[in-house]
Amino acid sequence: MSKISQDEIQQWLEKQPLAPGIEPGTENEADLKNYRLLFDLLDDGPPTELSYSFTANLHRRIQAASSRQIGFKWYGIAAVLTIIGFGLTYCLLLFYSTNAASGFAEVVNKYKWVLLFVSACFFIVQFLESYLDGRQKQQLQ
Amino acid sequence: MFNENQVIAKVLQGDMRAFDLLVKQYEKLVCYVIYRMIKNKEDMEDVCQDVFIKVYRNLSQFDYRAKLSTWIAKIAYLTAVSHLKKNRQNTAFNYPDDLDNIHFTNEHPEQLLTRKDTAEYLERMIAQLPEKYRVVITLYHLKEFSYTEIGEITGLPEGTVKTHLFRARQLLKDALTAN
Repeated sequence: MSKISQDEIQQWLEKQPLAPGIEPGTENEADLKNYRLLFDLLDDGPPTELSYSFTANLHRRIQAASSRQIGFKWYGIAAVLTIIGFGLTYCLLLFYSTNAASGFAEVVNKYKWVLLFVSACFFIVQFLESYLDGRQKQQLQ
Repeated sequence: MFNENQVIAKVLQGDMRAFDLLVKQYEKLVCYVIYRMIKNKEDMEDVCQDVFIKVYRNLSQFDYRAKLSTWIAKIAYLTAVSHLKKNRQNTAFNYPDDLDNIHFTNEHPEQLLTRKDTAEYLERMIAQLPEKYRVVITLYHLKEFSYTEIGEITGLPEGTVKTHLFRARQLLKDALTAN
């Protein structure tokens, strides 16, 4: 029997584990045996598995990422509520006394850059924390 | 029995136990792809976690056009490629332009006495194959994907998948025979 191509042998083994028509003692038989061994070893897969704590660690990372997102959301809502609070206070003071309202507005205006600076610092710190967290994980890898 | 649609729906509702089921179902697939793709095995578990985090975050975008396993395998493949690029691990091997002229190096030419020895030797040889050969051979022998699906995962035409697969197996068979 003529030499069967390597591709043909592989195609036979893919479709049916028993390849017909190969004569014993021929080069084809040797190739077939070697391919069968190779296919068996490849089907077994690599000698690896994940650790027992894989799922627990995965949960922790997902939880940490969710907490950070929730944190940003609530800090943003708190900032908006604070601004609305200032606005409502000014409006209420307007009903009570125009002087008190303008006094309040003057104080807020005087310290507006301090308030903006403190808020910006707060958000930058939160952002840097999550960024450095990610960088640290990469470096540990 | 793992019901893909049910599990996806529960995960999207925030059910972490459903997500654990999904991880259990596909951890072998992800683990095998990442193991064969990346060189540094210490990074393997972190990269596998990155894959499942991406699956969790993007599950709402899964459109059911392909199998869930195909979608997850694609995420695993792309994550591994990105990891390799970031760590410049692809420069570890200089593959010849003509891939027919790949020659394996064997630092441990001891006789292969047992099936375990043969399996370990085979893994060392697989690690020397080009990245595309490694991933195609891994995906095919998971018995999960057709040539078309492997093409979707790797971005290769079906014909190229077959060529890579057959060529990789021939190289490995010759390496086994030589020892």
